[in-house]
Amino acid sequence: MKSTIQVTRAEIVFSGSAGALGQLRLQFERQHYVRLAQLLEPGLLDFLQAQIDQGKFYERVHAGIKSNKELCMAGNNAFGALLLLMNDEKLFELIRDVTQCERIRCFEGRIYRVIPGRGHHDSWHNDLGEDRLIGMSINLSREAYRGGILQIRDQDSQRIISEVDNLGIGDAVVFRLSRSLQHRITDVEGEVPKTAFAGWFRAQPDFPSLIKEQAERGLRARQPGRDYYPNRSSD
Amino acid sequence: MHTESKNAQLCGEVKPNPNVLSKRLGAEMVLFHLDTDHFYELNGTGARFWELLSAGNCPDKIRAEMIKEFSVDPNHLSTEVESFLASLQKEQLIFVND
Repeated sequence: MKSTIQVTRAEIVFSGSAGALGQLRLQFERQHYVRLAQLLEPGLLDFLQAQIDQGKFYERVHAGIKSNKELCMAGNNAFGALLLLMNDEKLFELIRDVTQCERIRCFEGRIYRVIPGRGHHDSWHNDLGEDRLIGMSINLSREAYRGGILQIRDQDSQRIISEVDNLGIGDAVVFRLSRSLQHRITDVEGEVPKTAFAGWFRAQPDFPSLIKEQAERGLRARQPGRDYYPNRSSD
Repeated sequence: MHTESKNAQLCGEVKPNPNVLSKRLGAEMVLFHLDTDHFYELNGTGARFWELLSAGNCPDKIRAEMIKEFSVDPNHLSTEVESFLASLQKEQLIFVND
């Protein structure tokens, strides 16, 4: 099923009605997440998967989360393309409308892989900090994996209040970040690894500033014409 | 004039590289080159130039449109357009069929 929100190489396409957006808003309010089926247009997904097949992954442990380990992909053109495509003002507005969060200025993410039997796992955490507003994970796996379910629990009672798998390839799950909630991804089981692009919509910084930050971490940024065209207004 | 005749030759021969993704963010624009893995940031006028080029306009037509939209001396703009195109071509962000 095609999503009402779809990311293509050229633009963000919203093909639903105001009512469809209202339904997503209601789901998010009740469940703390919404699933966006086929967020990635199939042709774009094919391209990204082919690039990820050539990607290099390294083991990564996230500080601030009790016990966790995953493979993280070193920056390549799939990562760059996803980063650019998700930093779209129309997408920001749609996500804001669905989640009722404050103004979004950028999306920051990573491509990660979890392989069953390699000790890759996640622990309960809330992802808050660095002006993060909303979480999102897009399934980039080649095949359906088992496990890897997003669980959301109430921090105080530790009662699990939502669970969602994300098995549709190219699908996204958008989920709430809150001081009263924690989330984790359950272990992936069986033989098939899970590959995803996951990250956060953030209130700060804006995307150009984010790229400059990323450039300091090894992602290249250049500005041709920057000095040739000082902004001029006709008024 | 030399610049005008050169740019006239380019009319219809300059196209954005299809392996370049672009995203408008407010007044600015960010480009990502899928082949080189590089990001580029264009300021307001550069962003407008890229938009007009992506819409299939030739440099002459873009220059005429930008003279209408921006308070700029036409000769100065011609020089800047030439420099900008050279810069875009050097980074393989455009194809120039000359």
